[in-house]
Amino acid sequence: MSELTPALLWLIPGAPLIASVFIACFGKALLRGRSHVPCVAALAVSTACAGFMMLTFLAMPSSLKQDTSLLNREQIQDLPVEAEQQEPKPLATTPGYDWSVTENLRVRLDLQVDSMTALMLCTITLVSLLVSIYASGYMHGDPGYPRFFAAFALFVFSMCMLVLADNYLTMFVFWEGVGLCSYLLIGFWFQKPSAAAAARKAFVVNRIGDFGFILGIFLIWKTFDTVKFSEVFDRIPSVLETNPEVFTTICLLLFLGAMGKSAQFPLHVWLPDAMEGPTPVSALIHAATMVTAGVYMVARSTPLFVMSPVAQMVVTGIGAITALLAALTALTQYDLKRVLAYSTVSQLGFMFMALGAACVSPKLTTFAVTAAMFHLFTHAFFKALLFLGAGSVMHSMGDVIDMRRFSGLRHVMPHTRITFLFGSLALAGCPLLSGFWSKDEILVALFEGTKAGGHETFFMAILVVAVVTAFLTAFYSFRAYNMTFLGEERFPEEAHHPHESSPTMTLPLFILAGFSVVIGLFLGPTGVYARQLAQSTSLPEHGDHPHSVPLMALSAAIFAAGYGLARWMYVKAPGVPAKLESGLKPLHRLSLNKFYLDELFTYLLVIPVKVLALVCTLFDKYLIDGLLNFVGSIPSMIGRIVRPMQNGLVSNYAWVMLLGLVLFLIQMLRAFAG
Amino acid sequence: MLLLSIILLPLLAAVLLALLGGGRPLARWVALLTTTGTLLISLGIAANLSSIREHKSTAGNERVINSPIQPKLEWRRTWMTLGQLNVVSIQPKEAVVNEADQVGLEMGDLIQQRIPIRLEFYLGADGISVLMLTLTAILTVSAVLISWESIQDRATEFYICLLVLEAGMLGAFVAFDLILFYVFFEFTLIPLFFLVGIWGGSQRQFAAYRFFIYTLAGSVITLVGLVALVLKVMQEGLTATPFSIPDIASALTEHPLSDQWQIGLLLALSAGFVIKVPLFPFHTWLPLAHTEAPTAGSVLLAGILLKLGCYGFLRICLPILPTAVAGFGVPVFATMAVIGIVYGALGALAQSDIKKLVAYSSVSHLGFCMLGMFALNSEGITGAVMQMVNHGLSTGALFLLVGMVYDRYHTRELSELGGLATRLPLLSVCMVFICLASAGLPGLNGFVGELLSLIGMFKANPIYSAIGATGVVLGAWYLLDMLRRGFFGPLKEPASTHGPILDINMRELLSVVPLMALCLWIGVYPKPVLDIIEDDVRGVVNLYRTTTPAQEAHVGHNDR
Repeated sequence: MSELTPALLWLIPGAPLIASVFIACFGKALLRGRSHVPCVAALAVSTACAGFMMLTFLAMPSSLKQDTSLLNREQIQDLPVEAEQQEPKPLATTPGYDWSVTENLRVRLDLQVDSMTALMLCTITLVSLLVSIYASGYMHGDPGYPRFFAAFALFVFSMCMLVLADNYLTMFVFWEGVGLCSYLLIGFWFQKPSAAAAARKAFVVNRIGDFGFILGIFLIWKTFDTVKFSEVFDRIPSVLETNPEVFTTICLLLFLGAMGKSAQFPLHVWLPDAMEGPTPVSALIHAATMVTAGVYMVARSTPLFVMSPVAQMVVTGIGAITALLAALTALTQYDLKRVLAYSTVSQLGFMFMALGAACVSPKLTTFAVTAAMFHLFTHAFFKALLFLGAGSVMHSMGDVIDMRRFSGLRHVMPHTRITFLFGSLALAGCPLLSGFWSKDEILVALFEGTKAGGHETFFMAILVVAVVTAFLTAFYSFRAYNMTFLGEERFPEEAHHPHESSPTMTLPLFILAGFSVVIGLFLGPTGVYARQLAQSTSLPEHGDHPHSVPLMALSAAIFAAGYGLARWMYVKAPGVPAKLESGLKPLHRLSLNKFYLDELFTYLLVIPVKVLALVCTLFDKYLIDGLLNFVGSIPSMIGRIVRPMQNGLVSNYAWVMLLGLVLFLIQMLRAFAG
Repeated sequence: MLLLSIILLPLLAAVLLALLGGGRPLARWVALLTTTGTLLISLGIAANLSSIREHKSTAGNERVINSPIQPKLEWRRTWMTLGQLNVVSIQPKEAVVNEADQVGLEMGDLIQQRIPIRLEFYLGADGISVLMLTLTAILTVSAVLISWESIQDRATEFYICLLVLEAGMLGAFVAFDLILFYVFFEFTLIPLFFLVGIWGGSQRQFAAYRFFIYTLAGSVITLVGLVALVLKVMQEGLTATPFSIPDIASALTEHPLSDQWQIGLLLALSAGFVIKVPLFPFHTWLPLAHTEAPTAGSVLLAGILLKLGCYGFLRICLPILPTAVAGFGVPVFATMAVIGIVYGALGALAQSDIKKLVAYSSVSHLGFCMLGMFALNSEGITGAVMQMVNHGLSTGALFLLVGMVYDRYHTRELSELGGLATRLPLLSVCMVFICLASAGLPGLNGFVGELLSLIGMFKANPIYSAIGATGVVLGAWYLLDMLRRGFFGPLKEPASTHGPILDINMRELLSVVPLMALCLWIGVYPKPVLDIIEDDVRGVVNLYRTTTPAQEAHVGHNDR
């Protein structure tokens, strides 16, 4: 096992990288329509390796390399005896190479797997594999077919490396790497101006977040003298003595990075536009994996975040604002993919709400982080499923995705419909499906915050927001489902022959639907996921696992209410939405126009910067160059002044000679006198 | 000797071309062979140097170096003697004032030991110069390749200028003598003046004069500074080789000049360098010169000549005037650098001419370089040198690609172009790659330099670093905006386009692919390059180390 580990670890990101390079080199000339083969094969290898890794972790939780240095800090303070007795956590590391070494900054590219990484890897590779199979059908016949799979495989490589990183800087490198792949894939159809604009927007908005992330890393380096996770977490106690304020700054800067990547208010504006990319990309990158990188990063940095309750409350607060705002926006969107995009933003908000609840008490830290990560996990499956379902609809409707232009697809696309239904149920939080369990855990974590921890009122407000958002989620999921699959059968004229998609596309749908249904039940209430995640080196192992039956009942009721309302409005009484729309015109407009955030960005950021840019060029042209020209003209001006002196009149010259002689004589006399 | 031959080879080829004449076919082949030969020599020097390094590391006992600058390869010959130096002089004032007379009149009377003051021909190379030599050699090959078809008239003269320019640039990087450095530093102006003025665009003559006069005005002040420095050193009688940079640096490390002298010298010396870099607000000549210069001129101007300014700071100001740099230079130049980063990026954002955009981006990128340099710590200066190399590679490649677009469409206006990725797929792939490298995407070269510069500055002054980091955001903005407008979206070509527009050809690929490969290599595995740089930076950094014993222990703890 131990000899196998390094090879296995490198194979997980390595296989997609090799596939990517291979497709990039030979795709156009050699592979063409078979370009998906290396990609799918590589992802299968990665999935197998990740699965194997996970199994070894499950089988022998403490058999791998011991790492006693990674105990949780609160327990060192609170319960010193218990901390010492803690069992070593499973951790596999693989040496890579020195990326950069200067006097005080040493960055190695090593891989490290703990249970959190292993769980992330399983999610990433499995979902990518399914989406790549789907994409081989969906993208069939596109002229950029090889380019798509090259970028796709490159993305999986970067994403795996991101979670395998053992230090902040490597994480940042691949953090930007996934951003690059996202840029390339959003702009995949670069001839479309909207796609090109969306790609640039995504990259630049992400860069704003990354600006915070990199400064956070600088500050970590300056404070801790290292960027390695384990060493940073080790040195927290000593920094806590000398400089406790620094944690808030560090955490807020890191969170800015997470806000960019995980599309949190107000940096979420890029994600809905990112739907310009091919749908499999939306499913994989902009729903299941990449956008959860921010959640992962904050979860990974838990030891830092628990040191700063202020930062944690900011995390929760931003998460709540995002969740509510995005859910409200999703209510009125007509573009099916955009509904799903806003829903993704909203669900990410849920995850951040839970992460912030880790500050309630040291005992709750693990539970709160687990809730967030578990929601990330279940969300990856059902959201990928929903996006792929939407893609299937798009495929059949001749690339039309506006829900006003089609309806009643249940007969034409039975497979898509049934899987989409399961996805919607999971998203809406239907009891026993996966989304229910993970959302319930988040609500419980927030509920704990209302009971203790010193911020009861704050968490009360957050809990209310979360419950309202959960209701809205149930409503808009079924609004979308009902508008698409129920009602009278209508097709847009672009759809020449509406049909169910091919098995390459529906098979992944069924597999994902299966996961969406059972995975929550199997791993949530049984505690399997929580136990596994608690083994992570970033988390304290011991903690409470509160349950709340009333809350569970409440979430079931919320689901029923949302579902019922959507059913009534969009199936039973189809006139109601229009009436509501005209009745609440301003609110409807606000939601339809995404709270005018894009416009706000334009007026508050884009236009000022453009004006500033213009001012700079004018400054260059008139002020600096004007000054230069003035300085440049001084010699000729002097020339003009002295020119009359050489006018050729001998008498003038004689006068000057006389003057010179007198001056000389005076000088001589003075010299003799002195 | 390799160091001498690397300068002589292009010069000889230029002389040969001038004597023989010959048409375009001959001239360009001679140029290509010469530049390739020069590249080989530079690689030879690099190999030579690395064998020395290895030898040293295996030998273990390094000789103690007390100079902040120590070339590892040397070739020094006495050019002439300039009088004598009284080593045991009691009144140093007299020693200099009356030097000439004393030598002539009182030869027998004085018993003090006299050493001839030598003006030397002092060539040398350390890791930093080798990197710059190699970069110069590579970019010149690319410059020859890109001019292959586009330079039609007076081709022989063109290649003569190019070769002379190469000799000048290489000379500046191997000169370890103040006068020699200055001569090469100025010498590069002349061929570039002709390159811009003869083979440039419509406003070429104005641009050429402006650029020439402006940079010359600055360097004249630098010359005054150099002369003052040398006289001061001679007056103090510190060294018998008052022109040798390493000797001055080590002498002044032991006997530092007074603060006023240092500040005065720094102001004078930096005058030429800030214009050359160029630092805000001395940058306005750059966009104009770039837009008017032929592609090869732009490539070398941005890729190498601007680095001469940074190199001047690194070689002369930092090691020789430590007090002034730390006290006076940091606030002044770091502020200028930070403003330059943001200002250049904003300027780039407002441009619609791709070449002008890239020119402004140079202002921004060199701001990072200077920011790192004035962090005055190991990370910062290493990052600065890295950034010099990176900017040479990525901006050089950007100008090559812009030149290719211009060759095809005879315009660089983004308003007239659009969706070129449809027409020129491979060229667009290169463009996207280089833009990402230039925007500092991790995994490509730009990131390494910017990261180290910023992190170094963060240690010294977080505010500067934070403001500088906004340049990274803006960098992505203007570069990706350029891509979006010019290369993505629906195809738009200028109305006057005629003839088939073909994708990048083999010759053009040859000029740009090596640069791309280097970008990738430095991005993925920067350690070898960083090792080379850091080794030579250490001497300078030691000057600025204000360590307490506790910190020293800390450093040792990290080294482990």
